[in-house]
Amino acid sequence: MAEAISKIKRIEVPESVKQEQDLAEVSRKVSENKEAILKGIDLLAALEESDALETITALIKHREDALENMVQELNKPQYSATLENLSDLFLFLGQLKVEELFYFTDKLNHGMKEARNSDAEETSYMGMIKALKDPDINRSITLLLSFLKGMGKEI
Amino acid sequence: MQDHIVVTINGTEYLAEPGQNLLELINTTDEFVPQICYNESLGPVETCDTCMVEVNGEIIRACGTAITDSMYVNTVIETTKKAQKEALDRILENHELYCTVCDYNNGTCEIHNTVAEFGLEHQSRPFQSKHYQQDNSSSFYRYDPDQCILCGRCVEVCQDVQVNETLLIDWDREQPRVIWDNDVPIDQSSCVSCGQCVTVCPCNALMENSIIGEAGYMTDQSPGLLRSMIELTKKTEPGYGPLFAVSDTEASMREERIEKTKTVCTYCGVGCTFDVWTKDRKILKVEPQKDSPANGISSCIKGKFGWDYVNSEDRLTKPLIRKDDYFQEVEWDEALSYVAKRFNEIKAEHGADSLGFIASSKCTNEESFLMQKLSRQVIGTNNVDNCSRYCQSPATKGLFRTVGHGGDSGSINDIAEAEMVITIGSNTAESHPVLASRIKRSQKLFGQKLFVFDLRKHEMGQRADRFFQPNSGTDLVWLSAVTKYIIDQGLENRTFIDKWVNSFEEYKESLSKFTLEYAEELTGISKNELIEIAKEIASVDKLAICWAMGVTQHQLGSDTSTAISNLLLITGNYMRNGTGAYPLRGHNNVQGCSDFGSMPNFFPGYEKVADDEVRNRYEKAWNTEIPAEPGKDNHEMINAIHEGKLNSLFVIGEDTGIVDANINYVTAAFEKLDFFVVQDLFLTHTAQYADVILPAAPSLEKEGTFTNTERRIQRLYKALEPVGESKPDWIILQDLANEMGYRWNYKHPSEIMNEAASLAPLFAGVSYDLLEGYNSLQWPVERDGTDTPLLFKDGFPFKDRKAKLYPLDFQLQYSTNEEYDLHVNNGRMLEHFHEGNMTFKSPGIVREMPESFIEISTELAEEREIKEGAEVKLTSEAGEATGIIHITDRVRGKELYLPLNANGKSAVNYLTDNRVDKDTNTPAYKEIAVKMEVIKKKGKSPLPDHNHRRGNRQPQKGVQVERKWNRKDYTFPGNVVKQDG
Repeated sequence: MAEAISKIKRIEVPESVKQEQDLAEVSRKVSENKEAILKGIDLLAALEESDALETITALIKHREDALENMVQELNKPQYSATLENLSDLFLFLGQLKVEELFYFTDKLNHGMKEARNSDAEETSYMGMIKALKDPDINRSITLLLSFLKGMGKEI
Repeated sequence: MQDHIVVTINGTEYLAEPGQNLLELINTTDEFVPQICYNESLGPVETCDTCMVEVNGEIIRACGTAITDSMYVNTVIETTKKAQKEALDRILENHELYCTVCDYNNGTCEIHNTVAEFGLEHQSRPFQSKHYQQDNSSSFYRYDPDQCILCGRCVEVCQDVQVNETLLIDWDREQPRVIWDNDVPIDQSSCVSCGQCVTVCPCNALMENSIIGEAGYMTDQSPGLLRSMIELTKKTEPGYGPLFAVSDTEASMREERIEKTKTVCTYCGVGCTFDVWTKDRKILKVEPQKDSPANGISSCIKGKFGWDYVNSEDRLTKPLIRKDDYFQEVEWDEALSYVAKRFNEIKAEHGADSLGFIASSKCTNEESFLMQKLSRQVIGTNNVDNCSRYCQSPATKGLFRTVGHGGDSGSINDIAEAEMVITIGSNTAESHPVLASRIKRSQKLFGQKLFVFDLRKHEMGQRADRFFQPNSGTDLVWLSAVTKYIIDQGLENRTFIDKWVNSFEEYKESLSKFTLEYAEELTGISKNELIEIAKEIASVDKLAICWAMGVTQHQLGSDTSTAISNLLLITGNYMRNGTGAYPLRGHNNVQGCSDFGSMPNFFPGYEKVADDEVRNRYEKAWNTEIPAEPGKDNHEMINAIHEGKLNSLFVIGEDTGIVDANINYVTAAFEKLDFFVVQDLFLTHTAQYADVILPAAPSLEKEGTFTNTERRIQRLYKALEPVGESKPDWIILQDLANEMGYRWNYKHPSEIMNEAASLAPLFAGVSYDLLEGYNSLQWPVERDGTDTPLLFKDGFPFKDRKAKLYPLDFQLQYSTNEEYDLHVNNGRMLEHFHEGNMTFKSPGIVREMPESFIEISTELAEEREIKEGAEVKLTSEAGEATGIIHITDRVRGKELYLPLNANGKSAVNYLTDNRVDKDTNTPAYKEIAVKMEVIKKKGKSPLPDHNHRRGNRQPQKGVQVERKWNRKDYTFPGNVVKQDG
């Protein structure tokens, strides 16, 4: 004779046994992944040394607030231009012809070097006219003029 | 007539079928044309205008063009590109791209993918809100009008695939949107929550609630923050290129934690398959696939949304052993050795036949195979059966008698293809919703004739071209009378009968009793109507008959099933596509559980245990002796317990104490058992009587195969790990056999299938390799792997390859009387499965349908002076049940309907008695006479206000895109290009 019953008595696993089982599982995993874990400890130590660990922990704990603050802040009108610039800047970089830029920057660098070494304090009006005869200066001016010409075509 | 048409696309020539859709042809080439509303499973919807191409110099929609003549198509010249861009811009006016923080960004968003592939870099016109609120009223999904691009796929699928006819687009308002019924919130509408609109939505406008805030790494934010993030996303990502780079990366990161696993649904015999998306143990969504063989993109409320039970707190997680007045949790070792010890003791004391085994139609084929192997090999008895005894054995019997295979003649496609469909005793729209949709679609769009025979005017009855309500249990009579009339008028299919059918004369003789007069008197269907039915049947070329429990659960269930098959033979409706007999199986594996041998008289593949040759084969394979005598079926086992001849019972996954007839008698038997083992997910009503309860794992937590109503074997894969220490049933059975000294060593269910295939010729070629993913096999499967979607193509499996007409008689066995004056009918309802052990654990489903009810007619309510919500007590000769009244016009006169998901005091099986089908012992669940006593005259309606049955359907064909085109503010993108250019 078996009547219908519905009461269940669970196996009570004592806390200590549960802990032992958990520990066994953890130490097995540790042993299986020894290398990775040791490297992980190094990483943690490095983070701790630089105080970064504490900062990251705090940030993760407050990630919701952090995200909200960030997003709200970035959505303010004053950042609007920056954000748009950011992406525009990105596009701008894409359009630059870096090789040609090198040609310019190379010349610029050389010019700056000369400028630093120069001890002349000022140049008179006539001096400037005369200077045009200097082939180095003349080449520089010609380069700038063709640059201005090219730029003008795009305006 | 020419065979093929030459179509030149961008300079290359292709061959098209006459009438082929142009977009479909383009999609077979390497050319890319954007297409957002087009969906292979739905066909052209023509709303999105993105598939603009130039044909013979004119810009048109590719999806709206049928190929009739050879044509020159250009998909790449500037004008088409401009027109395509114009259409995409219009879509993006309606849809905000914030992919990285969108839960739909899982690699399958069709807007995202189209815009990316098209290479659209900038939005020409800004997104504009439609200023409608999100609709969050449904328990299962939400609609966000602001993200909706008005492609109308959801409307197409609701109107023409599911054919529930709830969704529309209101094209006439200034800002069109999708509406439910006559513009009510989703949960106030006729929506049955089948979820197909969500499945076909190309974006995040319609999404499952369960995935919202779960799929993405950054989507689970409070609404305000999410809004801010959307704004930020748009500011930092100016063109679509960078936006997609970020969101695509995030989408692939999601794959790291979201698993997509193919599974087979367990909620009826249709055998829907789909991917289930899980994140840890959370079920994010269920996604049917266009390649799902039985269902395609279709699903119903239970398959799409009803899986919460796997994570229910009530799941059993450790074996339980009865101690006095409680169950004690024990370790597996203890439980198994205890069961093994008791089985051995009882076998030693009373013999092997004093033990009984009941397999589950919810378990896999492999588990059914092992259950009968445990019974036959380890114990040595044929006392093994399964719950098809409660429902489908009579149908199987009727088919064996006449055509030789106990399964559906063809596939669901054949039902859809038939010129005429008759359903008898089948509440198809609620019990087999996806299959019903195929019939509803064929009727609505392709002129299929639908004749419905049932007591209750359920949805199929309401939709039918002709609906008949024969008196309960008299289907055999009208079937035979109609058959007789057809023969008498010479309308039978003479050629077919001469070539393929035996015993015609003998059968014709047996029909003499079934005159029209006799049938009219017994069935209540008039002579004229019977003649009309006969003429209609004789006039159509392809007839399919579907039937279910309304036929089988009667004392003449097998005979009535036989009568159906006789009628099909007389009219030649076998052996061809679009014809045949379709007993609709109720549980996911009711077919397979019997197929794989958990039956007292059959080995796997329906080979008789009494057949020496067959038995020897198994004895040799299993190195054992098996009794030649068939064992006891379920019903006989319960009787044998009462007689003291059966001492031990092992029941897997079946709440026998609720679902068997006359449960007072059944549970009284449980109390008499010496030893009772139940293996289940939950502490069911039945398990409460057990001595040992073994915790099993449901379909999502294991591998195996199910066989659906089409005889289709399909694989399920493991989506989740078993909860706690529960185990898949096949592992438990193997552990138990090994505990009893056997050495079963199956490492995977595929090895069990291999054994079954090697022993049962019906499954000779079945192997897991052929069943990978969405592949399937319909038995019989030959050794080389050839399967049989359509049975009997080359004859019937009898010696001379001919079918048999089987003579029948009829005696009315049941009717109501003066004391027990009401007839109780019973069956399923859409929202719940069976007794509800699984579906009542889904909060969404419970909200839809929180309790059961007793459905009565308006006439009866008036006569007894009761109102909606009244409480009554029903008393039959076997017992009594109480419940709440729901008054409808679906039932008439003195007929009541009681859904079988009621498991408390309303359980219908308190009322059913021991009457059974004379040939199969299937309980005559449908033959209950009761009297009704009023406890309370009125009360709260058991049907919630938000139940779909209170909705208001809005039938129309498709999305009615012409109404969009006729709007004053609509210009065809092709014309815009012309204006500009």
